[in-house]
Amino acid sequence: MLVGGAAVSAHTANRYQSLDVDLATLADNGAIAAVMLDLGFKKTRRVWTHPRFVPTVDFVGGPPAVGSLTLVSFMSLRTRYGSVTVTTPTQSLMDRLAAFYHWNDRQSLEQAILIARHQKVDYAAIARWSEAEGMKDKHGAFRRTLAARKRSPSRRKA
Amino acid sequence: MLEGLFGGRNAARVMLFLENYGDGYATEIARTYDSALRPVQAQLDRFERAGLLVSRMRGRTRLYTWNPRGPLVPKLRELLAVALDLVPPEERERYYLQRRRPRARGKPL
Repeated sequence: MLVGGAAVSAHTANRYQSLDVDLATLADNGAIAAVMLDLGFKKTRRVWTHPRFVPTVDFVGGPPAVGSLTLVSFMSLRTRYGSVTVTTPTQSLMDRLAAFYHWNDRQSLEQAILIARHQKVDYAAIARWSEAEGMKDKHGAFRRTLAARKRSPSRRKA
Repeated sequence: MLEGLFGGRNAARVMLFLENYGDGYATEIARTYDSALRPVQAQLDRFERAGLLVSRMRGRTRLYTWNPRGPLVPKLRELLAVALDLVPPEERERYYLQRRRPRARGKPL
Protein backbone atom coordinates (compact mmCIF):
# COMPACT_ATOMS: atom_id res chain seq x y z
CA MET A 1 0.00 0.00 0.00
CA LEU A 2 1.28 3.43 -0.90
CA VAL A 3 1.79 5.55 2.21
CA GLY A 4 3.74 8.64 3.23
CA GLY A 5 4.53 11.55 0.97
CA ALA A 6 3.67 9.74 -2.25
CA ALA A 7 0.16 9.10 -0.90
CA VAL A 8 -0.11 12.84 -0.29
CA SER A 9 0.94 13.42 -3.90
CA ALA A 10 -1.72 10.99 -5.09
CA HIS A 11 -4.46 12.67 -3.04
CA THR A 12 -3.51 16.22 -4.02
CA ALA A 13 -2.98 15.71 -7.76
CA ASN A 14 0.72 16.41 -7.22
CA ARG A 15 0.21 19.78 -5.59
CA TYR A 16 2.70 18.27 -3.19
CA GLN A 17 5.44 16.26 -4.89
CA SER A 18 7.37 13.58 -3.09
CA LEU A 19 10.61 12.08 -4.32
CA ASP A 20 10.09 8.89 -2.31
CA VAL A 21 7.68 6.06 -2.83
CA ASP A 22 6.97 4.49 0.57
CA LEU A 23 5.16 1.16 0.43
CA ALA A 24 3.69 -0.61 3.43
CA THR A 25 3.81 -4.38 3.12
CA LEU A 26 3.69 -7.50 5.24
CA ALA A 27 5.97 -9.35 2.82
CA ASP A 28 9.41 -10.36 4.09
CA ASN A 29 12.63 -8.82 2.82
CA GLY A 30 13.48 -11.84 0.71
CA ALA A 31 10.22 -11.69 -1.20
CA ILE A 32 10.57 -7.93 -1.66
CA ALA A 33 14.13 -8.25 -2.92
CA ALA A 34 13.18 -10.95 -5.43
CA VAL A 35 10.50 -8.73 -6.98
CA MET A 36 12.54 -5.54 -6.96
CA LEU A 37 15.64 -7.13 -8.46
CA ASP A 38 13.48 -8.71 -11.14
CA LEU A 39 12.15 -5.24 -11.99
CA GLY A 40 15.67 -3.89 -12.39
CA PHE A 41 15.97 -2.05 -9.07
CA LYS A 42 19.08 -2.16 -6.96
CA LYS A 43 19.43 -1.61 -3.23
CA THR A 44 21.32 1.54 -2.31
CA ARG A 45 21.75 1.66 1.46
CA ARG A 46 18.18 1.25 2.67
CA VAL A 47 16.25 2.31 -0.44
CA TRP A 48 15.66 0.85 -3.89
CA THR A 49 16.70 2.81 -6.96
CA HIS A 50 16.25 2.34 -10.71
CA PRO A 51 18.03 4.22 -13.47
CA ARG A 52 14.73 5.03 -15.22
CA PHE A 53 12.70 5.86 -12.12
CA VAL A 54 13.45 9.10 -10.31
CA PRO A 55 11.87 8.46 -6.89
CA THR A 56 13.50 6.10 -4.43
CA VAL A 57 11.39 3.19 -3.16
CA ASP A 58 11.31 2.20 0.49
CA PHE A 59 9.35 -0.55 2.19
CA VAL A 60 7.81 0.16 5.57
CA GLY A 61 7.70 -3.02 7.63
CA GLY A 62 4.65 -4.23 9.54
CA PRO A 63 1.14 -2.78 9.43
CA PRO A 64 1.53 1.00 9.23
CA ALA A 65 0.11 2.97 12.10
CA VAL A 66 -0.38 6.52 13.23
CA GLY A 67 -0.10 6.52 16.98
CA SER A 68 -2.72 4.22 18.38
CA LEU A 69 -4.44 3.70 15.03
CA THR A 70 -3.40 0.94 12.63
CA LEU A 71 -3.95 2.00 9.04
CA VAL A 72 -6.31 -0.60 7.63
CA SER A 73 -8.39 1.49 5.26
CA PHE A 74 -7.20 1.76 1.73
CA MET A 75 -8.48 2.51 -1.73
CA SER A 76 -7.49 1.61 -5.25
CA LEU A 77 -6.42 4.29 -7.70
CA ARG A 78 -6.58 3.44 -11.36
CA THR A 79 -3.73 4.62 -13.54
CA ARG A 80 -2.84 3.93 -17.11
CA TYR A 81 -0.21 1.51 -15.82
CA GLY A 82 -2.58 -0.43 -13.61
CA SER A 83 -4.13 0.12 -10.22
CA VAL A 84 -2.33 1.26 -7.09
CA THR A 85 -3.45 0.55 -3.54
CA VAL A 86 -3.11 3.68 -1.45
CA THR A 87 -4.08 4.68 2.06
CA THR A 88 -7.30 6.69 2.21
CA PRO A 89 -7.26 10.50 2.21
CA THR A 90 -8.44 10.55 5.83
CA GLN A 91 -5.68 8.23 7.04
CA SER A 92 -3.08 9.94 4.88
CA LEU A 93 -4.10 13.21 6.51
CA MET A 94 -3.79 11.60 9.96
CA ASP A 95 -0.32 10.36 9.04
CA ARG A 96 0.73 13.92 8.20
CA LEU A 97 -0.93 15.34 11.29
CA ALA A 98 0.95 12.83 13.43
CA ALA A 99 4.24 14.36 12.28
CA PHE A 100 2.91 17.80 13.16
CA TYR A 101 1.60 16.61 16.50
CA HIS A 102 4.73 14.80 17.63
CA TRP A 103 7.57 16.77 15.99
CA ASN A 104 5.97 20.15 15.25
CA ASP A 105 6.68 19.50 11.57
CA ARG A 106 5.01 22.37 9.72
CA GLN A 107 5.67 20.81 6.32
CA SER A 108 3.43 17.94 7.39
CA LEU A 109 0.74 20.34 8.62
CA GLU A 110 0.75 22.03 5.20
CA GLN A 111 0.45 18.64 3.50
CA ALA A 112 -2.47 17.71 5.77
CA ILE A 113 -4.16 20.97 4.81
CA LEU A 114 -3.57 20.26 1.13
CA ILE A 115 -5.25 16.87 1.46
CA ALA A 116 -8.21 18.43 3.28
CA ARG A 117 -8.60 20.99 0.51
CA HIS A 118 -8.47 18.43 -2.29
CA GLN A 119 -10.36 15.46 -0.88
CA LYS A 120 -13.37 14.65 1.23
CA VAL A 121 -12.09 13.56 4.64
CA ASP A 122 -13.78 12.33 7.81
CA TYR A 123 -13.31 15.23 10.19
CA ALA A 124 -15.14 13.46 13.01
CA ALA A 125 -12.75 10.48 12.82
CA ILE A 126 -9.76 12.84 12.72
CA ALA A 127 -11.05 14.67 15.78
CA ARG A 128 -11.63 11.42 17.71
CA TRP A 129 -8.19 10.10 16.81
CA SER A 130 -6.54 13.43 17.75
CA GLU A 131 -8.21 13.37 21.14
CA ALA A 132 -7.17 9.74 21.68
CA GLU A 133 -3.59 10.82 20.92
CA GLY A 134 -3.85 13.58 23.52
CA MET A 135 -3.54 16.21 20.80
CA LYS A 136 -6.80 18.12 21.09
CA ASP A 137 -4.99 21.48 21.16
CA LYS A 138 -2.93 20.75 18.09
CA HIS A 139 -5.98 19.42 16.33
CA GLY A 140 -7.55 22.80 17.06
CA ALA A 141 -4.50 24.46 15.51
CA PHE A 142 -4.95 22.33 12.38
CA ARG A 143 -8.65 23.25 12.06
CA ARG A 144 -7.93 26.91 12.64
CA THR A 145 -5.10 27.01 10.09
CA LEU A 146 -7.24 25.12 7.56
CA ALA A 147 -10.02 27.67 8.00
CA ALA A 148 -7.54 30.54 7.58
CA ARG A 149 -6.18 28.98 4.36
CA LYS A 150 -9.66 28.59 2.97
CA ARG A 151 -10.34 32.27 3.63
CA SER A 152 -7.18 33.35 1.79
CA PRO A 153 -6.34 30.69 -0.79
CA SER A 154 -2.69 30.21 -1.80
CA ARG A 155 -1.51 28.84 -5.12
CA ARG A 156 1.77 27.87 -3.56
CA LYS A 157 2.79 24.22 -3.24
CA ALA A 158 3.52 22.98 0.26
CA MET B 1 2.85 44.47 13.22
CA LEU B 2 4.61 42.23 15.75
CA GLU B 3 7.76 44.32 15.56
CA GLY B 4 5.81 47.23 16.99
CA LEU B 5 4.42 45.01 19.72
CA PHE B 6 7.73 43.41 20.74
CA GLY B 7 9.94 46.41 20.12
CA GLY B 8 12.03 45.11 17.26
CA ARG B 9 12.37 42.69 14.38
CA ASN B 10 14.61 40.18 16.17
CA ALA B 11 12.23 39.92 19.09
CA ALA B 12 9.28 39.32 16.78
CA ARG B 13 11.22 36.74 14.80
CA VAL B 14 12.35 34.85 17.88
CA MET B 15 8.74 34.69 19.09
CA LEU B 16 7.41 33.51 15.74
CA PHE B 17 10.18 30.93 15.34
CA LEU B 18 9.47 29.39 18.72
CA GLU B 19 5.72 29.37 18.22
CA ASN B 20 6.18 27.75 14.83
CA TYR B 21 8.75 25.12 15.76
CA GLY B 22 8.19 24.70 19.49
CA ASP B 23 11.83 25.04 20.43
CA GLY B 24 15.08 26.34 19.01
CA TYR B 25 18.62 27.47 19.69
CA ALA B 26 20.30 30.75 18.92
CA THR B 27 22.40 29.69 15.94
CA GLU B 28 19.47 27.92 14.34
CA ILE B 29 17.22 30.95 14.72
CA ALA B 30 19.88 33.37 13.45
CA ARG B 31 20.62 31.13 10.49
CA THR B 32 16.94 30.83 9.58
CA TYR B 33 16.54 34.59 9.28
CA ASP B 34 20.08 35.26 8.10
CA SER B 35 20.57 37.47 11.16
CA ALA B 36 23.53 38.19 13.36
CA LEU B 37 23.88 35.78 16.26
CA ARG B 38 24.42 38.16 19.20
CA PRO B 39 21.11 40.06 18.88
CA VAL B 40 19.23 36.74 18.72
CA GLN B 41 21.06 35.46 21.80
CA ALA B 42 20.25 38.73 23.60
CA GLN B 43 16.55 38.37 22.77
CA LEU B 44 16.40 34.79 23.95
CA ASP B 45 18.08 35.80 27.18
CA ARG B 46 15.62 38.67 27.69
CA PHE B 47 12.60 36.47 27.12
CA GLU B 48 13.97 33.88 29.50
CA ARG B 49 14.49 36.49 32.21
CA ALA B 50 10.94 37.69 31.60
CA GLY B 51 9.66 34.18 32.33
CA LEU B 52 8.35 33.49 28.83
CA LEU B 53 11.02 30.97 27.88
CA VAL B 54 13.06 28.30 29.60
CA SER B 55 16.28 26.74 28.40
CA ARG B 56 18.33 23.64 28.97
CA MET B 57 21.59 22.31 27.68
CA ARG B 58 21.51 19.58 25.08
CA GLY B 59 25.13 18.63 24.64
CA ARG B 60 26.85 21.96 24.14
CA THR B 61 23.76 23.69 22.78
CA ARG B 62 21.34 25.77 24.81
CA LEU B 63 17.84 24.87 23.65
CA TYR B 64 14.99 27.29 24.33
CA THR B 65 11.32 26.48 24.59
CA TRP B 66 8.19 27.94 26.10
CA ASN B 67 7.93 28.18 29.85
CA PRO B 68 5.10 25.78 30.73
CA ARG B 69 4.55 27.66 33.99
CA GLY B 70 4.52 31.16 32.55
CA PRO B 71 1.08 32.66 33.25
CA LEU B 72 1.16 34.85 30.14
CA VAL B 73 2.55 32.19 27.83
CA PRO B 74 -0.73 30.55 26.71
CA LYS B 75 -2.29 33.84 25.67
CA LEU B 76 0.92 35.03 24.05
CA ARG B 77 1.10 31.81 22.04
CA GLU B 78 -2.50 32.29 20.90
CA LEU B 79 -1.56 35.70 19.59
CA LEU B 80 1.52 34.34 17.84
CA ALA B 81 -0.50 31.50 16.28
CA VAL B 82 -2.82 34.07 14.72
CA ALA B 83 0.18 36.05 13.51
CA LEU B 84 1.66 32.93 11.91
CA ASP B 85 -1.58 32.34 10.02
CA LEU B 86 -1.21 35.84 8.58
CA VAL B 87 2.37 35.38 7.37
CA PRO B 88 2.50 35.74 3.56
CA PRO B 89 3.07 32.48 1.65
CA GLU B 90 6.57 33.46 0.42
CA GLU B 91 7.69 34.24 3.96
CA ARG B 92 6.10 31.07 5.30
CA GLU B 93 7.94 28.97 2.73
CA ARG B 94 11.24 30.74 3.43
CA TYR B 95 11.26 30.66 7.23
CA TYR B 96 8.61 28.38 8.67
CA LEU B 97 8.60 25.11 6.72
CA GLN B 98 11.89 23.55 7.75
CA ARG B 99 11.59 19.79 8.06
CA ARG B 100 11.32 18.61 11.66
CA ARG B 101 9.98 15.07 11.23
CA PRO B 102 12.54 12.26 11.35
CA ARG B 103 14.26 10.89 8.29
CA ALA B 104 15.71 7.38 8.42
CA ARG B 105 19.46 7.03 7.98
CA GLY B 106 20.28 6.02 4.42
CA LYS B 107 17.22 7.69 2.94
CA PRO B 108 18.21 10.65 0.75
CA LEU B 109 16.60 13.98 1.61
